[in-house]
Amino acid sequence: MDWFASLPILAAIAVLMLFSGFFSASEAALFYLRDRDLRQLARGNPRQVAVAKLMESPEQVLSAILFWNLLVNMAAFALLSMVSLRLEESGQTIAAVVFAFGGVFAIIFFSEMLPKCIAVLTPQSFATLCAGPIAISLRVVSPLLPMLTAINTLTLRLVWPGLRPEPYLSLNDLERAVQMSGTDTTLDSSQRRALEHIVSLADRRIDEWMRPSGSLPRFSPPLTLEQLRERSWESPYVLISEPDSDEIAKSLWLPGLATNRQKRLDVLADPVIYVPWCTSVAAVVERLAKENLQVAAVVNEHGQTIGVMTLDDILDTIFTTAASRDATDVDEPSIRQIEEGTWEVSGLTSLRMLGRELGVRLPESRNVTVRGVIQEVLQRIARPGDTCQWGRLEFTVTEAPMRGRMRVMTRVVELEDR
Amino acid sequence: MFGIVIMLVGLCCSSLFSGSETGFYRATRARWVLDGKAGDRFAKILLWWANNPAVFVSNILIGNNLANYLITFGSVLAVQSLVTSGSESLELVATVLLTPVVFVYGESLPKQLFLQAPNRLLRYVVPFLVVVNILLLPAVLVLWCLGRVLEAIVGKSPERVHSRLARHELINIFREGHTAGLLEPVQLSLAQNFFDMVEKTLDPLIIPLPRVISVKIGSPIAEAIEMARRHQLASVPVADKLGHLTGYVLVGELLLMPPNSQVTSLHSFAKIQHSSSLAKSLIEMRSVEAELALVVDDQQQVRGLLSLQRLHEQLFAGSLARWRK
Repeated sequence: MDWFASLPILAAIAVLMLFSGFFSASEAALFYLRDRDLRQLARGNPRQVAVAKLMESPEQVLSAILFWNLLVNMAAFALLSMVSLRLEESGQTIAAVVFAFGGVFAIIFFSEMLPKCIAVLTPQSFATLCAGPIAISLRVVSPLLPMLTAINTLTLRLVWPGLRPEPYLSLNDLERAVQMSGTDTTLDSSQRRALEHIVSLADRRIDEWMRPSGSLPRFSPPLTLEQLRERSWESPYVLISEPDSDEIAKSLWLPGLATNRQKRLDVLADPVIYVPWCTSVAAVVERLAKENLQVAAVVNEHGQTIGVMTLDDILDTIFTTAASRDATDVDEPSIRQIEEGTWEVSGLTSLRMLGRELGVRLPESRNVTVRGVIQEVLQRIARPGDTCQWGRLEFTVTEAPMRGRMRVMTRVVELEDR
Repeated sequence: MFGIVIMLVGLCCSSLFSGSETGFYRATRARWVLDGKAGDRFAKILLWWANNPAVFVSNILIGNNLANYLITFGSVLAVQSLVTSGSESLELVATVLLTPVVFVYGESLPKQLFLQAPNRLLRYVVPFLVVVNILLLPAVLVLWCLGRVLEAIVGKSPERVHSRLARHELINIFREGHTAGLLEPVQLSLAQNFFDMVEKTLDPLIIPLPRVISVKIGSPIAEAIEMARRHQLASVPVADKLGHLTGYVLVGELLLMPPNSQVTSLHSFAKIQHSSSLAKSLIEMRSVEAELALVVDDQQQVRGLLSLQRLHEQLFAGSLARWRK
């Protein structure tokens, strides 16, 4: 092959590589700028202002840069192909392969990596230099971009019509992270379970965790120490209703009482917050923390109070791992196999975990926990001895204390059992 | 025909490389750690690339440029097979006309797909990328070395992703969960404070026995209430006539007793090992419903008292400090 005759092509490749390097460097410099830099440039000289103005529509700028970069690279590759084909036609096959690969390699290094690395060293200065030419290239290609976007969208709908964006992270990932941290952290099983419970607050509904509103003593104002003394002290909280109705208005945390000098205790009480039954426990805890309160009243769709949730209940559920308040085995698991096909399960076990541990495909449900499912099937709050069936599972409630964990005997029902 | 086949192969490869690049930056690193720990080979490979991004980037850069080269080479071949003479300018025009097609199907569309489903799609292309990585290893290594030199000049190095799930990594995953809108701020604060409690010892919270303020069994409750008020106690330790601690009573309980009653210890102390962490103590004390615990050493000698209230203060530290006060 006559290299002299190919000189114009080689010169054209070099020029195209320069252009490619310019677009690569522009991309790096412009998109390396942070909001703070752009705000600073917007107050600078006209060329700096032009950079800030250009970056007001970053998607368009990026599309234009990528398009032009691709165009010059493709043109350079076409010229490389022509030269390597000429070499091959003249019987210099090895030289053709070396030229093609060497050319591609040179473009990668000199037109991609090197310009980008240099541009990010002084992004502001380079962005100021390139803003004008990039604005022109954007203007030239802008009539084409909407059409390309439309083709893109149409193809996307044809290729993958039901495409749904993946969640970046799911609660399942967080639960797995805690479970898998056993060997790498100093957490023991009860501490890992506490962290799992903190995560699980996010998708548990408040009506799956609440206690019945009648389980806490309720008084009408005014409330005095004498009135409290007349009743046995069965809970750390008492509820105080509105003066003219049965609706819960306030709550009093008895361990917090530190004086007997106040005649009316209801003035020491804190207000309660009202939350709909379908709110997540996490959202309720967030509100309680923000408002510095301890009790939430759970209301149904008719506005009636159906249950209450206290800070103490939340702490119990997170940090008390025993099956009952009397038990001392703090490491008791939430699912324990009793015999083949039968498990003892905590009411707060998530359906996700239940399905995974039992290897059973569970029916669709709007509930998240075993307790929620049982309540929905029974249409009331569960009591010890209640039995119900849900999909292939049969639940028998063995313990349902006002405070602490519900325990449920769970059996997988085979087809012939039905 | 051969030229068109080469073009199509190049276009497919280009779309895989472009999409993979976006997917690689977009995918959830924490999920790779979890899948890797569960034994997933693909996740382990992705994690290795995440910790050696120069190798991955070199792989993608070379692969994508070679793919684009294949497309143009194919188009040049196709034009040459159609036009026998004076084809050079036509070859260039054909390549330029091809650019919008490559832009959409080799760049924009795959990037958009991988942007929407990075974790799912990356799993499909890992074997392809591994094969390419092996085939292009010499070139990748050269480019990797050059990249490292440039990196050293620029002074930037990528953040490492650990394959273990120690405290720091777990907290980071919780932070990511909060940023992704999965966790409320209160959950993040509780988890962080609890993590702190896992590593903290009991010593700063223990009240040594000589400093324990107690009330004698049989004392009038008014005296106990006054003492609790003076020292801002929520629970009062009770001692027998010899001064040995026997249990405790809550101030709320004292208030609800008839005014002329005498103090009795209504609750037993929990027993906590001195070597326990604050987190372990919190779980143990809540599990046995104890407001006060005796801290004992290995020889079962009592070192002092620990109150649940102090543990709660640790749990509700930082942004939650206002709560429960």
